[in-house]
Amino acid sequence: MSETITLHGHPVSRGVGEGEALVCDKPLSFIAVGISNEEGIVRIDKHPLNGQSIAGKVLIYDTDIFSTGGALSMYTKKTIYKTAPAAVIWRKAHNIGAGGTIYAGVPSMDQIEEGLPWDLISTGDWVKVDSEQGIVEVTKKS
Amino acid sequence: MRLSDSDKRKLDGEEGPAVRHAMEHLVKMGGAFEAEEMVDLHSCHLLSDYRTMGEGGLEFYEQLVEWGGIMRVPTTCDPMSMDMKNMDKFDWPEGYPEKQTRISDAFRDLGVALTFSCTPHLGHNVPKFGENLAWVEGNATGYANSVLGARGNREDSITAPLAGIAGRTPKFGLLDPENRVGECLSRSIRTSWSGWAATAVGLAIFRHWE
Repeated sequence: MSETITLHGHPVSRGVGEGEALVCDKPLSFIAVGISNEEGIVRIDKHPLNGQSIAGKVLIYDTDIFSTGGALSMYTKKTIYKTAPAAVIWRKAHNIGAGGTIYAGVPSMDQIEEGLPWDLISTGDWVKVDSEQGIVEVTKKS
Repeated sequence: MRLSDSDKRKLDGEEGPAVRHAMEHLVKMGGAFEAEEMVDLHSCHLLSDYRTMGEGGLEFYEQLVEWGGIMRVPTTCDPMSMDMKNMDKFDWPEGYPEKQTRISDAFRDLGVALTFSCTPHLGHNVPKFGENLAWVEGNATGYANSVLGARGNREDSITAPLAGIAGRTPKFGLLDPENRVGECLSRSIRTSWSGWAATAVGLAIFRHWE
C-alpha cells in the first residue's frame, strides 16, 4: 500500500482539487507564450517543466514571474480550453497566481508548514488539495 | 477583512452587478493576503493584449460591460497585440483582428482611455504621492512606487479592472504604508560608478533575502 502524508498550508483560492503532481522548485508563469492556452504545455526554454502538460495536474512551483497577464491566461485555460491545473501549490503566492486561481476557481495554497513543497511532493505523486481546510493529502507514487 | 458600510453595500449589489462581482473577487483577494481592510483606489492600468488574455479575457471584459461596469478612477491601458494601422502587412489568423478590436470596444464602454502604452506615468495617468494604484504594468508600478511615492502592487490582470470598477482594493503588500519603510541603507562613495554600484547593491540585497 502506498504511503500517504498530510501537509498543512495557507489557503489562497478556496476549493478542493486533486490530480497527479507536476513539481519544480523554480518560478513559472501562466502567460500564453510560456504555457500555451490551447494545449497547456510549458514552452519556456531551459525551464525544468519545459514540454510538460499542466492540464489537470496539481502544479507545484516557487511563485509567479513574468507578465501580470498570467492571471487572464489562467482564466482562459480554465474556461475555454480546459487546460488549467486541478490545483496549485506555491512556496509563496504572488498576486498574479492568486488573482488567476481565485477568479478561475482553481484551488490553491502556499506556505506549507512542513517545509518546501518540492521537498515533500514528487512528480507523479497523487495529491489532493483541500484549501477549504488548509490541508494537502499526498499519496506517494509506489 | 473589515469592510466599511459602503463596501458592504457594494457587496450586497446596491451599486449593480458589476460592482458586486468585483467586490466578491476583491474580498477573496484580501482574504488570501490577510488584508485587514480595503482602501480607496485612485488610478488603474489594464491589459489589452488579446494574444495573452485569449478568449476568456475577452469574455471577461465583455461580461463586465454587460453588467454595466464603469471604471471609477482614471484608467489607461497597455499596448494591444497588433498594429491596426499596418494590419494588412501581416498574416493574422482568421478572426484575430476582430477579437482585438472587441477588447478596445469593451474598454471604451468601461471608460478606459485608449492610450495603449506601457508608460502611463509619463503623461497619461500620473498618480500623486500616497495615492493607491492597480496597475498591471511592472515598469510603471516600480516608477510610481519609488519616484512618485504612489502605492501599488504589481497587480494581476483580473484584480486590476475589478478594483477599478469597485473603486476599492484590499490593503496588502506595497499598498500598506507599514510595508513601505526602508529595511537597509547603502551609501555610494563614487558617483561615477553609481549605475554599476546600484546593480551590485541590489543583487546583494536580493541574495540576502533569498
